[in-house]
Amino acid sequence: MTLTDELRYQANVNVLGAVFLRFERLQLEWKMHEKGFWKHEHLAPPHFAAPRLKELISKHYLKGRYANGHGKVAWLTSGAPAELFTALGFFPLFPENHGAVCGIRRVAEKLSGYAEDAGYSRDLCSYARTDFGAMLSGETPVGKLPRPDVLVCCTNICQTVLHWYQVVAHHYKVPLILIDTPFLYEQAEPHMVAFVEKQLEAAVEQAERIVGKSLSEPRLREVTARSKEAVELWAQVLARGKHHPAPITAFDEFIHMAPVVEMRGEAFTVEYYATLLAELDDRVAKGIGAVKQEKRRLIWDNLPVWGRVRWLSELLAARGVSLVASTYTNAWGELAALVDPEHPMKSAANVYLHPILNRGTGYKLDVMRTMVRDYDVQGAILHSDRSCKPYSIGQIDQREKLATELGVPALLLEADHNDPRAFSEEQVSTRLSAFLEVIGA
Amino acid sequence: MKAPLAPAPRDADPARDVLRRAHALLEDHGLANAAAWKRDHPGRLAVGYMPVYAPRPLFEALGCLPVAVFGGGDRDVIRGDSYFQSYICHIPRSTLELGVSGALQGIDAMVFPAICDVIRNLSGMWQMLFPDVYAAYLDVPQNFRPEVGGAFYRAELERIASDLVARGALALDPERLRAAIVTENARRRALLALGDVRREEPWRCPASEAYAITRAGGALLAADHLALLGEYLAAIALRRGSPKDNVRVVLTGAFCEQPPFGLIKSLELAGCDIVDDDLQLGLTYIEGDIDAEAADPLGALVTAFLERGAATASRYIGDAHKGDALLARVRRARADGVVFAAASFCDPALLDEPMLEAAMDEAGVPYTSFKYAENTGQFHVIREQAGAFSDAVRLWESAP
Repeated sequence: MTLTDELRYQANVNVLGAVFLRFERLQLEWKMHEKGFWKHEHLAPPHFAAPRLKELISKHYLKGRYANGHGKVAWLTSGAPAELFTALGFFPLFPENHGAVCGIRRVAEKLSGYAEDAGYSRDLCSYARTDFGAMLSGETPVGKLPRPDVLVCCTNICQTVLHWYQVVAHHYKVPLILIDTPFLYEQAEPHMVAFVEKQLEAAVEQAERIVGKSLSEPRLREVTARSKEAVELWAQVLARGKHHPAPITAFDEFIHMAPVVEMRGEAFTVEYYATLLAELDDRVAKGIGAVKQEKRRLIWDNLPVWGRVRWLSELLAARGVSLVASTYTNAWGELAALVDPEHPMKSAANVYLHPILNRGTGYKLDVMRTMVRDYDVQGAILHSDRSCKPYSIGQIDQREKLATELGVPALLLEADHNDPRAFSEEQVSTRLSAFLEVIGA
Repeated sequence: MKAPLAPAPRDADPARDVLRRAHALLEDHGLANAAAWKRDHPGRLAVGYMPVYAPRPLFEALGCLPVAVFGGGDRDVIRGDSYFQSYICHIPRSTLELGVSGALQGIDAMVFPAICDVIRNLSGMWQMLFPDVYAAYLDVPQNFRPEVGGAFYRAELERIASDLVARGALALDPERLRAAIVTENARRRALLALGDVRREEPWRCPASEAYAITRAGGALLAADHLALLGEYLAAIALRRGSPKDNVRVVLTGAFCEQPPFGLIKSLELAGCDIVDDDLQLGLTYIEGDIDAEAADPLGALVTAFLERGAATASRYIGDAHKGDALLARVRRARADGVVFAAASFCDPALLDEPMLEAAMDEAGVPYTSFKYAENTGQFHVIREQAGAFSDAVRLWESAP
C-alpha cells in the first residue's frame, strides 16, 4: 500500500463518494415524500429504506473499486464464512452478488458472451459465465472490480463453485482457499463438523499470511455477533410476510437481501435491517400491503430471475397476487440460531454446514411445507433455474408432493437466474396466467 | 447324443470369445452376473456404485460384489425423464429409469460418490424413491491433508462399511481388505499392460475393444476381471496385422456419463487411433499400487486416495497447473492430438475443458471438442468432425 493509493481511497470513498452517495440518498428520500411520487395501480410505494439500500450497495462497490492498494481483497462464494475474512480486514467481494447486479442491470448476457467466446458452454451456470465475462473483459456495471488477493470457495452451495473458482484462480494466479463441506441428509455428524472446523482453522492461517496479521479473537467475536444480529433481523423482516396483507414481497426481499449476503458483520448492516423492520411494522400497523389488493398469496422457490424481478412483480400484483415468502431469501435467515458469537470458529463450522443447498431435497420440501402453513399461501412458483442445478433438481417431485400432500398447486417455471436468453416473456406470461386461474387469482 | 461342436473357423479372431463375454456384461449392465453371483453367495450383497471412483477393495473385503451402475446407456427412458428438467445431464435419467423399471432389483445398496451436484441430489432422490434400498452418499473430500480430509474420508468409509455390515455384509477384516488390495493392484497393473499395448500397437487393440474389456470389470470381482484381462491380452498377442495410417489421439472427458459405444467406433472409423482415454477412469483412479503391506490396510486405502488420485475434473488439484496431467498423458502416448468429449450439461467437464484446451494451445497440441449424451444416436456429425481433425493433423505433420 502506498500513500498515494491510501489518499486516493480516502478521498474517493470516504470523502467525495460518501458525500455524493449521501446526497443522492437524501434526494431520493425527499422525492419519495413528495405528493404524487407513486402512482402505480397495483403495487404499494417502495419502502423508505430503499434509498439507504442503494447507498449501502453503491458504497460497497465504490470501496471495491479502490480496494486494491488500500487493503487485501477476498472474493468469496455466497456461502463462505465471510466473518473470518471481514474480521481479518479483507474487503469481501461476492461474484454471485456482482452477477445479480449484472442481471438486474441487463448486462449479464453481454458478459456471458465473452465467456462463451472463450469456450465456456451455455450449459454452465450463468453466474459463473457472467463472472468469467467480467474477469476476461474488465467490464462491469459497478465501475471496476478489485483484483482478488485470495479466493475463498465453500462448496456448501454447490459443487460448481469448486470448478468455477479454479478457473478464476488460474486466471488471476492467486491462492484459492477451499472449504469443502460434507453434504447433510440428517444432522451433522461429529466427523463432519470436525472436518469443516479444521479447514476453517487452516483457512485462517493462510489468510493471516496473506493479510500479514493475526486474527483477533475479540474482533472475530464482534463481527460474528453483528452477523448474528443482522441475520436475526433479516429473519424478522421475512417473518413480516406472514401478515395479511403482507407488507413486503419476496420480490422486495430479493433486493433487500444484498447486505445480509455481502456485508454481514458490519454495524451499518444491522442498522439498515433495524430501520427496514421498523418500517414494515409501521406498514403492518397501518394495514399497508406491498400489493395493494392482495387476494392470493404464493411462495417462490429458487433464485429470482434477476432481469425480470420488476416485470414478474407487476404481473402478479396486477392479479392481486402477493409473493409472501421464498426459500431463497429464507436461507439467509434460517440459521441465525446456530450462530454463537462466543465460539465463533466452532459455530462457523456448524452454520456453514447447514445451508439449504447443502441439505437433501427432502429438507427443502420440509421448508416449503412449513412456509405453506405459516404464510397461509394458496400456491407455489418453483423457478426451474437452468443455471442452478442443485436448487432445481427434485422440484418435479416437490411439486407433486405439495399438490398431493398439502393440496397446494405449484407451477414449475423454466427460466434462468441471469441469462435472459432462457426467459420467454410470452411463455412465462401464458403459463403464469393459466396457473393464476387455477388458484383463483 | 450331443451334436459335435462346430470347429472354430481357421481365421477366427482369437479374442472373439472374450470380447463376446465382455459385451454380454455391458449389455445388461452386469445385472445377470450379479444375480448369478448372489445365487452362488446367499446372503451376500451386491453394491451398486456410480462414477467415477469408488473404493471397490473395501466392498470386496466386506464380501460384497461391487457393480458399476454407469447409467442406462441408450436404452429407452420412459419414467426417468419425468424426474428431471431438460437441462440436467442424461445419466441420472437413465439410472433412475433402471431403478423405477425394476432392473436394479438385485442391487442391495447404492453408493453415490461425490462428484457433482447432480449425482449428489440423485442420492437424495434414491433415498426417497427406494426407501428399502440402502443408498449412501460417499462424500469424498477435496482436502487431501491426512489429518483433515484423510480423517474425514476414513470416517466416511467406516460409516458406509458399518451400514453395509448391518445389512448383511461381512465384518470389516483387515486381512480380507489386504487380500482385496493385492488383487486390486494386480488388476490395475493388467489395465496398465492393456494401455501399453494400445500405445505401442494400437492396431492390435482398438479403443472400442479396450473399452469393452475394461468396462466389463465394473461388473466383476477384481480377480475375475484380472482373469478376463489376462485372457484378452493373451488373445490379442496372437493377432496378426499391421499398423494403420491413423492419427494417434487421446480421448478425454472426465467421463462420468459414458458415451455410446457407437461414438467410440465412429472416432476409430474417422481415422483416429485412440491410444489413451479416461472413459473408465475410476478403475485406474489411484495412480500406483495401494500399499498392501501396511499395518492398517484401511489407512492405506485412504492414503492412496489422498496422495495418488488422478487429476480429473471432479478432483481439486490445488496449486497444480490445469492441463499438466493431460499433457503428460499426451506425451506418454506419443499422441498427435486430443479429442475432448464432454457430456452435455456436465459442469465439471465443461468448466475444465477451456483450461485444458488452453494448456494444449500452449503446448502446441491440436485438439477438437464436442459434446455428447449417453443416448446420442447420430454419429455422422462427430465422425465428420473427427475425420476433418485427423486429416488436419496429418496435413499439419506433413507440412514442411
